[in-house]
Amino acid sequence: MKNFNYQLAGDNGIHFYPIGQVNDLNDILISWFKNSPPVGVIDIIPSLVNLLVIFDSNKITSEILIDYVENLDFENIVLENKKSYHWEIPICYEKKYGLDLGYISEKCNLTERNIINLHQQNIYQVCMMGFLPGLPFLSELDPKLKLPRRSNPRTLVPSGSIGIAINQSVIYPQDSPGGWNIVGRTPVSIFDQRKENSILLSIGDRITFRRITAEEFEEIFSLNQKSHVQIKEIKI
Amino acid sequence: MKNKNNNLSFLRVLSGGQTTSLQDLGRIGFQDKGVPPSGVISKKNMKLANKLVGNNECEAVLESFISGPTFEMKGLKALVSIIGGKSTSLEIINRNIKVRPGRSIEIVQNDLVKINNGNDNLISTFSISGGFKVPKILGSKSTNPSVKMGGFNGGFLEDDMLLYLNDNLSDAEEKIIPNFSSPQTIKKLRVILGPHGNKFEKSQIDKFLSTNWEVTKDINRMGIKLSGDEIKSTAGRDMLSDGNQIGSIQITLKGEPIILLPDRGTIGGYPKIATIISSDLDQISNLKISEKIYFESIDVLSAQNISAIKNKKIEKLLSSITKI
Repeated sequence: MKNFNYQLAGDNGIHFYPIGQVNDLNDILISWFKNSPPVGVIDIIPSLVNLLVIFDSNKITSEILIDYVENLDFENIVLENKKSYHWEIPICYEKKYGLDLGYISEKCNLTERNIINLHQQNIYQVCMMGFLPGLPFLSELDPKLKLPRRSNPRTLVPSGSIGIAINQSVIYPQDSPGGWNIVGRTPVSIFDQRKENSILLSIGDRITFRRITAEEFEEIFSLNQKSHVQIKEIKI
Repeated sequence: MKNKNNNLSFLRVLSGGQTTSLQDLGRIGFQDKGVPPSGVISKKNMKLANKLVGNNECEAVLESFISGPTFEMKGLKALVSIIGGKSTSLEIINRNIKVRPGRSIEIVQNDLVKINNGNDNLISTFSISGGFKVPKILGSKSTNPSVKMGGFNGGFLEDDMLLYLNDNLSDAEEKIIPNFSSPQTIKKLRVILGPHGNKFEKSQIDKFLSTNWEVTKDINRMGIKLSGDEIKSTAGRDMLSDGNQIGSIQITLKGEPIILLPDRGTIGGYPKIATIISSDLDQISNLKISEKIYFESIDVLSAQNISAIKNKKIEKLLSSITKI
């Protein structure tokens, strides 16, 4: 049975488009390539549409890789070491950090208190990473908070800022230009070049936001400047 | 005065040049976390330049776009070499010496060295024996200036920077690639159509392949913008983002092609009409600003054959390197 359509991205890349139960097949393929990649595969880029597999064309050809994927027995694959974590990330929603709360309130016709509750109550899953190193796209945002990205992007969004747009939320891992509507900011680093394992999150991880005050923010922030603050893992 | 860096050799940057950065093979295996690999544009240049100075072929090198830096050698002697285009050279100003690509030369304390990128190519590649003393981040010394990662403080070379060197220069001897000639300016890049062929009507793909595209000045380590015509896509504004392959050519909302380079974002929402074959990526270093190029569409089997032949040629060049 055919599980995927594919499109070539040169002689050293293939986009695999799952047919049917999109998420399941994609998740299995992502884990498979992360945990037991065939020789020659050097990188994968998952997205909500497809999975781009990048390989060394001197070690494996497009044809062999396509055959390989078609012949995977998806019904019976047992994924080893499929680790995903649930993280608790502190967030301060006070005006100083929730730069767009006023704007969102106007556009979504909600009070700021409502916006904060709606954003904080969901458990999110990292569904894609990109745009910046370590930047997670988190789904699913409450539909009441749905609004487009800012038509006039900021030239500087401070690192740790947490934004919303369409049906997702993001965390900016570093200072960057950006167009998401900012609801708050976390004082911890999700991307820290000082650490060997510098990127905290992986696709599939879950996130709960814990609301903190501005005082707590300052305290954790200054602690984090000196040394990396451990982010709490929620045991399931 | 005691200085704990007393025994260290370094290059003092006198003039940083336009955009020179430290690059190796790049960060492998982190693209699912959104980390662009970065790394050299031309692996061929990197390997040749390193072999000429006795380094591991994949040691980090300086890649200069458009114009190169000038620096002063401080400390022990070292071997240096350059690979680039027809008019690229390495100048040792104080001794009035100009060295062409394809050989290495010894530099000593207080030598003033200038990388002349030349006018016939986009990028030149400079190596120094022992390599640069720079910590690896996610397995690589490569610089990604757009996210301030790796290399020297995450950025391009700047005036007055000190570039510390690893210290294994003892018995290095000058070397040469016999009968080496630098490549001409490149006019043609070969592509495989797609991945988003279904987002373009046939007339637009034909137009893409028949247009002579000008290499614009709009160039950085993320991409090269081309001009010449307008390519229309059926994708529209709200196309969902997917993975960006290096060498893929995306079409912006304005219909302009951009060749994606190693610092590009890992995902993007523009349709990609075609992808440069892996063995032609090196050739990007021999593009020239304001010159015209065209794309030739080939199939994946041809690309594999071209790649095999090219690898053999590079191996042959590498093994021909000999003492002067």
